[in-house]
Amino acid sequence: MRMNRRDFLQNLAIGGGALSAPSFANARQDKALSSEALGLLYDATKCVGCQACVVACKEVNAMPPEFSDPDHLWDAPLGLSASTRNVIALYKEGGRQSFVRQSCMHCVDPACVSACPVKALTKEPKTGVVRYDAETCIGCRYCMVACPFNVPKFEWGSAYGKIVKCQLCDHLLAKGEQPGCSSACPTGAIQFGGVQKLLQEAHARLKASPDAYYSKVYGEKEGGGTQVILLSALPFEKLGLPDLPDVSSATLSETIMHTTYKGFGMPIFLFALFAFMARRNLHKDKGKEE
Amino acid sequence: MQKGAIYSHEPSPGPLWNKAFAAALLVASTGALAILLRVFFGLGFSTNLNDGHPWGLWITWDVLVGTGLGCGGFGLALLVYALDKREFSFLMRPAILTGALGYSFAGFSVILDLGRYGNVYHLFMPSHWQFNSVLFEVALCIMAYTLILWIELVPAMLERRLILGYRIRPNILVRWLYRLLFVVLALGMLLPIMHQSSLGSLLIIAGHKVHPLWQSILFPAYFLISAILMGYGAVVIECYLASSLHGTPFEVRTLGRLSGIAAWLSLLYLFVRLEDLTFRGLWAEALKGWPGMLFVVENALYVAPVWIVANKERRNNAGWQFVAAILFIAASALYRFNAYWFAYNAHVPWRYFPSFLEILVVIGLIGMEVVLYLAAIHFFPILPVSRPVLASSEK
Ligand code: SF4
Ligand code: SF4
Ligand code: SF4
Repeated sequence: MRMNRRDFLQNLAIGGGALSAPSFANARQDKALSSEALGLLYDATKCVGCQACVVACKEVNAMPPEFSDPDHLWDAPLGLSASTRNVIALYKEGGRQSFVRQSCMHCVDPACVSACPVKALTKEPKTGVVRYDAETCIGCRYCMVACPFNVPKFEWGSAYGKIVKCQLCDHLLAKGEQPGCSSACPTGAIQFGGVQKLLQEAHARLKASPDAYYSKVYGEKEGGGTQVILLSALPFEKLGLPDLPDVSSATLSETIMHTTYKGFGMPIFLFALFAFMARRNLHKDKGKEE
Repeated sequence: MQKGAIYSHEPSPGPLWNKAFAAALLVASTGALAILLRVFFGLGFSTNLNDGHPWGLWITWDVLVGTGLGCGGFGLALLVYALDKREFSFLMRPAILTGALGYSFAGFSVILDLGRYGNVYHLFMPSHWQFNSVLFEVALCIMAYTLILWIELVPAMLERRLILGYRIRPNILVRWLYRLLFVVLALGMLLPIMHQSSLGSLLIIAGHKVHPLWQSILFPAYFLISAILMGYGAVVIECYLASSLHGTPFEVRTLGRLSGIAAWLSLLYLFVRLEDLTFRGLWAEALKGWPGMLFVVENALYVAPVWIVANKERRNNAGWQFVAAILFIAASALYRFNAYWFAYNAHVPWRYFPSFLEILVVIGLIGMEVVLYLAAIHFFPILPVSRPVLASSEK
């Protein structure tokens, strides 16, 4: 019964001219993690909330401070913004509390890259770093709509603003150095390295002290997987991380696009049909006039 | 030709310069000032857009509603040229004009909305083309269709042989245009199917940020139907304008049939939308909180015109037709506003309500459209005029 209903809906969508129902033959494959992918492991149980990583990030990326205290003494950003690429937030619940880190997750199958109409956002094939190029960007902000973590931020204050987000400090990586945040962290809560290794490490920690952790490595599967992964004692949804399906929203979006436009078959067919009918009907007109 | 009446297109009578034109011009110039502020001081200064709501009023109103209202020409073309329903052909011209203006101003509005508009030419550079991006497809397709709409207007412009003192003669180019008109018409039917449905697909990638009552793989179908409904609504309203300007009778019968077609489409829409909800088990959601309320209002707005049109007397009554047209437009506009704005929630502590300047720009653009529309119907034979013919008179 259910299945019938679904088939029925899909047929209806095609019949309605919407050409939208994904046929699974054309479904686009989920993207896989590159073996050389680089990323970060953030362990909330080790984080003391000192914000050293936030300060370091601003330093290495030459970003301005942001004040949220009345005296403007502390650079204490409340969330990601055009002048803040990473942030450590505190979540309290009853007697328990945990810090959590926000920054670009460098998704394995990034929605932002799929969305960008002009390739201003790209995923480096080897390292998997998701880069942004302001010289290319048209400022449509579709990446902001697409990113499940609300990471890309726009420079609203500027007359000709750009998008700002963490690029895993690839300017430092190029020099063989570590990202600013991970090298600044005094407790080792942020660890930089190959994602495969980081995943092993994360699972090892879960195994070694199962009581200390919520039993999940966030980012291993979420949204098709991310290269920045997290461990925490509290459920991740409580920390403000979205409960995402195991595939990226880019998969469905691209499946629909490519099913519709594959080889331009559907548009060409419709065009031919319309052209034929319009021509025939226009000719009828002529016949009448004469 | 139908019996009993002969249709022609005529420039609107009376002087161009009247109170309505002057008022529209005033509104347009205020809007132009607001636009200058946007250009010099940026998006943060002139809009209330923020990191939680990167798209706002300019996208929802100018692009989603503006192009929807401009879909009358597309919807009629499907009837006239694909289904050979000739009775509707005299409605085409004003609908194409509305479409050309609506689409052009949607494009203009998008440029204003782009944070880095100087790079917009990248959309034309093959090295930058990104075929996975729904927005890329929408952008190119809308630009192409805007061009098609203006080409479709050329025959109307050529009918008036004298433009600003220049004599226009059908030269070789024009003859080719007529010969290839069927290609133009076919593109004029294909391109809106593509980009209007893709305006819906745009939101699929936003995933959990769009409320489940709206987030659906059937987005393309809903957006396509809502576009056609808005287009038909706009056509009915324009006919009102035409008959009141020319003092000619209102074409109740033809428009009654058009309203009937719109009602069937609404029913199809409602059926699929509610079936979609049942399938995904979202009925409980539909009655919860303010998204539930929006959902109910939105769908009630689709039901209301169907109720009006279902009755034959009401269907063939000009007043009821007008109300139904407004409702078709309101329902589809609310659906689009809901999907893109009211039901869009990035789960961040950011709220969005448009700024005064944002609203001023929107009103200013409407003013500009009205100025150009009035000028176009004044100089060119756009609006249809029906005159009764005596039974004995030969053509
Ligand atoms: S977190 Fe957002 S911005 Fe970063 S790669 Fe993923 S989709 Fe792109
Ligand atoms: S704002 Fe820039 S980076 Fe983001 S999708 Fe648009 S063009 Fe791409
Ligand atoms: S990798 Fe670099 S840019 Fe990204 S959060 Fe760390 S310091 Fe900031």
